[in-house]
Amino acid sequence: MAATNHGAPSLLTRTTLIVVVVILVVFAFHALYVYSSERSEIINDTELDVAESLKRLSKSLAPFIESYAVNEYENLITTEAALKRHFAVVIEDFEMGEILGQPYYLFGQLRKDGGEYVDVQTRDASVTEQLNQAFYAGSAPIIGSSGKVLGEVWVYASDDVLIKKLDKALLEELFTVLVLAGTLSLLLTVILRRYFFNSILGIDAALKNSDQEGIPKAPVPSFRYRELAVLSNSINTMLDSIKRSRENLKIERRRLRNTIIGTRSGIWEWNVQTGETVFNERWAEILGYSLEELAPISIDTWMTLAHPEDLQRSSKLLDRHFRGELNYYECEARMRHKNGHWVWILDRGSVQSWGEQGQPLVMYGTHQDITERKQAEASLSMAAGVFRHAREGIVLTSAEGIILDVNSAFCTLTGYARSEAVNQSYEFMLASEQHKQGFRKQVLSSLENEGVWSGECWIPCRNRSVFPSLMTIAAVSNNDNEIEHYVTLFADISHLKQNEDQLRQIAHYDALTGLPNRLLLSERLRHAVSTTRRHGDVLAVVFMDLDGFKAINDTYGHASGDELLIVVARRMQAILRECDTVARLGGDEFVVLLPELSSGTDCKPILTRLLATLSAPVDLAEHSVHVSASLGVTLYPQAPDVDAEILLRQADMAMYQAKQRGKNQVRFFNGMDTSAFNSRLVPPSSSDQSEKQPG
Amino acid sequence: MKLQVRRAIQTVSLVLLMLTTPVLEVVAQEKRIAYLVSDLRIPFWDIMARGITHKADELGYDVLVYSAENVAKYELAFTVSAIREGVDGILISPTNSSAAATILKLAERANIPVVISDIGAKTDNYVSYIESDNFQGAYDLGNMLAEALHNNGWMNGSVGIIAIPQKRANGKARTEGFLQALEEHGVKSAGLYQQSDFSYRETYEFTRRLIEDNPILRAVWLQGSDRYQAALDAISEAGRTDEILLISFDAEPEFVHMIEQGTLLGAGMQQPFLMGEKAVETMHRHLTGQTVAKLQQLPVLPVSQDNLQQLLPVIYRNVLGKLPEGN
Repeated sequence: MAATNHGAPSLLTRTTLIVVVVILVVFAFHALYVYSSERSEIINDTELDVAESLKRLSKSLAPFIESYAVNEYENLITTEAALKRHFAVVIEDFEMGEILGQPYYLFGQLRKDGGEYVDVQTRDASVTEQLNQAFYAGSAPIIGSSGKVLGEVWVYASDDVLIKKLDKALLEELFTVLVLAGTLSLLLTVILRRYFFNSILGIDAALKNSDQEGIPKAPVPSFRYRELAVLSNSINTMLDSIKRSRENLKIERRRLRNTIIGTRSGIWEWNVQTGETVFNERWAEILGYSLEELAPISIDTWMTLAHPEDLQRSSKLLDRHFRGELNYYECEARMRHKNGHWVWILDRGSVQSWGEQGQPLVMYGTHQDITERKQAEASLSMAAGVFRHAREGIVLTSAEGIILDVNSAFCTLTGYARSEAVNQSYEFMLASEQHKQGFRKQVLSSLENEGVWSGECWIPCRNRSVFPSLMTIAAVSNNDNEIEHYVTLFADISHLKQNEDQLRQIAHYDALTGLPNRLLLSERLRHAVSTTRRHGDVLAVVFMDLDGFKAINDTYGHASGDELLIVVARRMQAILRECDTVARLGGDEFVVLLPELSSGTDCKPILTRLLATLSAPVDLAEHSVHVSASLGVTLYPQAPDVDAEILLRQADMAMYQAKQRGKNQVRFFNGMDTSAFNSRLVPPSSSDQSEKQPG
Repeated sequence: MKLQVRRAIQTVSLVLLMLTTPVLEVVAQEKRIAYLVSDLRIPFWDIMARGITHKADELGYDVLVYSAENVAKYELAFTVSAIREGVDGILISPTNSSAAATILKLAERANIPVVISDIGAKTDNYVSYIESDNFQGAYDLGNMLAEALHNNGWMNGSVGIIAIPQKRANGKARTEGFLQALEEHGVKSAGLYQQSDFSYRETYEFTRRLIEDNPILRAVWLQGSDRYQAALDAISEAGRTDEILLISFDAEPEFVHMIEQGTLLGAGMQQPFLMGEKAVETMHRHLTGQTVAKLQQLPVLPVSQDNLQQLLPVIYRNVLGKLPEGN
């Protein structure tokens, strides 16, 4: 601000007035002193003059009196009176008096009011009265050379001379005072204006030539005189310092602003004593408000928006800080967002101004939105809980494949202690021999491409055993999509595998005989069809039904029947090739698949062995029984639309024909609409024959 | 000799008078005047006193002559006496001008008019002051000397001066007039000595110094006449009697003869007798209500061999106070 106070008094005028007053006072005292001194001096001088005149006259008059040089001593008296300006000088000449016949001859000089001297010849009343008015008088005898008293001389001094002298001295002093005061004031004014105020105005002009922030653009000019040069240099030094400070302040302010903006901090300033509080816009923005919306701002704004529980904790922390127990105040608190939800803020600050009694005056601090952090903490907490309490094994691995941590489930499942696993390479997790070749590569490729791999994996245990697990490996990337670490989660699925085997057994095998059931038969038949088509060989599908089983079952009970079925199954398994399949469809119905045959006839020996073995007596626990079997056979390949189901029906139909033709025999399928197949597949020699087994 | 006897008688008489009676009546007449003179033993004053008495007689005044013998106390005492005598006027030839002032004051207090003859006063409360024209007299002497030097072919010579005190007005006037004349003639001055004790030795010494210090000294001028012999002796003893002229102001009775003889080149002669007469005449005029001049200057006679004879009657009467028989 460069406002000029035109109403302010002029320093020059004030200085001049003060100097004039000081000069007047000083010289007035000086005049008083001079007056007093002068008065004393004049009185003293008067007395001295009188004394000197008396002394001089008494000596010098004597010779004249002795020589009767009356005129001479009268001249002397006259001269003395006039010269010394005595009020009166009177001589009594006894010698002359003797001549005149009188006591003395009197002569004197008396000064009149006009200053002129008149002769005094007698001591009449008028003269006596005038002489009595003298301010000071003295007399001295006039002693002749012989010691005779020749007369007496009187010297009178009046105060009018004193007064005139004092008046004159006073006037002179007054004149001197006025002249000196005027001269000195004028001189001082000129000097001040020339050497001081012009310089000050120069400094003022230089200072007024300032930028928008009020800092002078150019330095204050240097001056010739040392004091002003020192002042100029000091101002310039100060200006340089201010400029540097301003630059530093700008930098600091920019840093602070950038820091506040960068850290997205809300800042607050709290007058603890008055409650007056200042927030920045970010403070309100954290809560979804603008400052304008929160107006009027005070400490109550904070107290209103803060969570009551947190406010209580905040107050306790503040009290501890105020008491000096905490170097600074820090509190995580919730505040109500404009939208109604709670926002976690980190409230930090400290008192920067203390009162004389140690009471806090002003406190400064920041608010930071830590909601995300709190949420992350919560997530981490949950994750930590999961990590700790999960039944699955969890392995945290660095991007370089070094195990960072494992949970307790890992230790339980693998038998490794945490310390044994941490800092080890993750490679051993994938190194089980159970894995197929390329397993590790597949995993790494999936992680690289998709960031995750999931599958079954054999986990090695400390006791060198392995167990199957369902494993998920996830790559955890940072914001730059760089992999920071991997998280491996695996669950022991040994029991699942066992259950799976059991279920698979239940689903695909006959519970009584242990032979594949219809379901497994279907799969194997489809597989055999496919393989046969691919390899170009022949598949024989044999549908078999025991002859006489119902009677045994009815006669000896189901247990015996079941036992018979088991024996039959064992016998068939014993005579079949490894690649062959015998399955129980239910009851006493079985299907045998004979793949990899060179031709249809290649199955005949097998069929023969089947009829033989099935017709052989069977020793049950309590009985020996005898059954036979009817076999229906169909061959493949056939037409492209013939599938497994059709093949089974064809074999079933052939078996039915065998039953029809007397049981214990083999019949090949020669369906009405598949003559082409029959002619081709069924050997001509046997197309109409069926082997009749005894039974 | 006659003067000396008379002067002595008067002096003694006056002293006795002063001590015994207020006044000694010389001539008992109705109007009386007193003549207060410094010292009648000095011929000049005596001649003047005679002029006074002569003229007083003529005008019918009784004259009381008081000679103070050059003693101030006497002079004052005589003044008081004269005043107490109730004289109508006082003529004074005071011992000095300062004493004259006191006398004038006392006379003034007594309301008695005073005429001063020859010695001036430092005040002006007198009727008239009569004196010789010292300047003119000295000037005339200068011219006389210059002419003599010229006639002797000594114009290159210098002139020494033995002066009365120059603080006196008459001394100063004499020096000025003389030097003016010398200057007009181009005569050089050899220096000036002032008399102080008016002794023979003093004048002799001054003369000797002038002769010694100035080889071309051709004349010595005496402003006072009484110690002329000392100057003559010094010149003579220097062996320069014929080479150095002597000229004097004032006159002694023997000067007539000396001028005749050429021992003295000339003299400026005052006329005391005439002055005394003039004083009485002035007082008379004043007492009779006539106007008188405040200052009256009487001529000084420049007497040389050339005019001696011509002026001799005047010299005898007015200078030497010798009246022709029958007066």
